[in-house]
Amino acid sequence: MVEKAAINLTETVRAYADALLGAAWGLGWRGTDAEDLVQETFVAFLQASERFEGRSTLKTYLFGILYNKAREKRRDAAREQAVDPIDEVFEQRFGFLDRWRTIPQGPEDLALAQETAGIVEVCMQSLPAQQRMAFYLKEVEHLPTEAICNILQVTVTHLGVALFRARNKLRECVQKQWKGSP
Amino acid sequence: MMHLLNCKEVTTRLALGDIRQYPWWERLVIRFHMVICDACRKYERQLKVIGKALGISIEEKRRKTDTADFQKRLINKLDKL
Repeated sequence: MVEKAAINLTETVRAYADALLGAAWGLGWRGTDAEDLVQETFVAFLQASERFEGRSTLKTYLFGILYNKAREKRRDAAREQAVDPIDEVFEQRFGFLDRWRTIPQGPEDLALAQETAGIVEVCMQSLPAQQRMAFYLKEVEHLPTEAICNILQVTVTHLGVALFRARNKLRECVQKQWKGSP
Repeated sequence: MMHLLNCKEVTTRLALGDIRQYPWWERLVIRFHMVICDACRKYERQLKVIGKALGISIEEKRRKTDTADFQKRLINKLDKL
């Protein structure tokens, strides 16, 4: 059993508020909505901090609370749906011998990431909370698979499906929005 | 067993990312495919750009936000609970 450290509010806020605000933005919350979500996360944490048993890191634990609060408030589906339209879109990309029908279009040079940022932000809006959070935690927070599964309360297989769909949706959307794309 | 992967199989693995632990020969087959396949190479690069772009959009928000002030307000509110 890990010994529980007394919670120092100021230190905890200083250490994690920025990361939580980033996650709220990643989930598509804006301005004071995002700030309120972070505040509610801390309130919930303070009310039940004894439940934190040190099985995950404090950061992971807080991300989990934030994610659940966000879903509660916007009534997002808890689980990945069995069928997602992107799966069919993905299938259609491949033809004879499962080769690409046409070469993927859009930004492919890392130097273009800056220009792509605004497009990705818009494209993120079409993703359900679970796919957004999975993609955010993976690509921005660079959390290990185990921690992301812990936060989202899903299996590794489920996380794979969420990331697969998130990446393909975003790529399709970026391809469509990218200047001069056919 | 080692067998060549087609574009759809390679792309699926790229989209799933590193969360599945592929055996070394499969990783080798994926890398080999990328050398000879322009389309899959572009796909992989695009995923990298998109991941980085999201990070940049978050960083831009951070730059525009007075996070020190946010933390202060947050601590004040929580202290009153």
